[in-house]
Amino acid sequence: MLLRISLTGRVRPRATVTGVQASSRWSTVIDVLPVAAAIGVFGVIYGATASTVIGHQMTVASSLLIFSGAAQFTMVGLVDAGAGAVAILLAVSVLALRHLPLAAVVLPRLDGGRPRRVLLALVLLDETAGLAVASTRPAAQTMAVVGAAAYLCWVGGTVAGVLGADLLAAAPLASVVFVILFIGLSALTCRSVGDVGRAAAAAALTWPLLALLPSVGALGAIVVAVGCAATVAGRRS
Amino acid sequence: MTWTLLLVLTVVTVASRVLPMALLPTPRGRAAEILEALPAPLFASLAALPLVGDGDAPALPVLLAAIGALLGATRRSLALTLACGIAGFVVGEVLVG
Repeated sequence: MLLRISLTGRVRPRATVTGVQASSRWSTVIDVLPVAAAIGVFGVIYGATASTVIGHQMTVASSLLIFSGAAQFTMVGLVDAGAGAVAILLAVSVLALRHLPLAAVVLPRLDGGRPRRVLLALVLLDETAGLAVASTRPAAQTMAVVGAAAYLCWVGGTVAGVLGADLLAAAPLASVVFVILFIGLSALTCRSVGDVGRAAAAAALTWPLLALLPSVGALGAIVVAVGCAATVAGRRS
Repeated sequence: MTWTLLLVLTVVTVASRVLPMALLPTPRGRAAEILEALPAPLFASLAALPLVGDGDAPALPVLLAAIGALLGATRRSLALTLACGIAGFVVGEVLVG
């Protein structure tokens, strides 16, 4: 029987090691596929929509450089509505504020120095941060793999949309994948009954807040989430 | 829309990602406790965001997808959550016609 000695000195059957590696690869693929597919579909829709407003070259350049669906759709919507540069800059800046809590959540889980963190920051998205926090694999590895796949699908989708691809029919399913994904990530990051209660409260409070004040958008949702997280009881030394 | 504006928007977005990742200190004390508790409510809020959209009630397929995802999430499996959510969406689409 083939054996492998692990770093801890324990002897393990090779079949078990390769089985774990294969299982890890499969779980990575399962994590990446729906995210990348949904982002790719939105990339196609963005490319088709934006190219009629800001032109082909600028559409592709925006996806290559900005890599943020929310910011880019907002930018194109405002340009199409005739908004000025200051209004567009303000709207994109407000959306960019969501990266602050995402970074704060991910940072304690990342090893390595500042250069590595800066590189990973380039793929800091809701999805990469969520999967990095929820995954049992190293957070940096998850962020890098999911982020690279998301970037390729976003840019590739944008190019396809600019070239005339039409996936508008798939938009509802792609949109709902994000809802499902965030519900799954919320469940995976619950470690106690208290976490479940805070997650339920956050969803329940976000709903009426956005129904009453739709303009607060993602920033409002994040404020609600931080407020709910702040109800966690402090540890006593 | 000018190339200059596109570059400024790029700088704003990239800086909003890079600066906190490079400069935020490792949280300690109460801040660390809150951040430790943040992921679950954060993703719950982000899930509610597209559900509510611009203030309208969600469509039946989206609602059934969310319910399916919640049922799948009880097993704490992302794959099962996705499968149940998409199944809920398909059922909703069929019901709506």
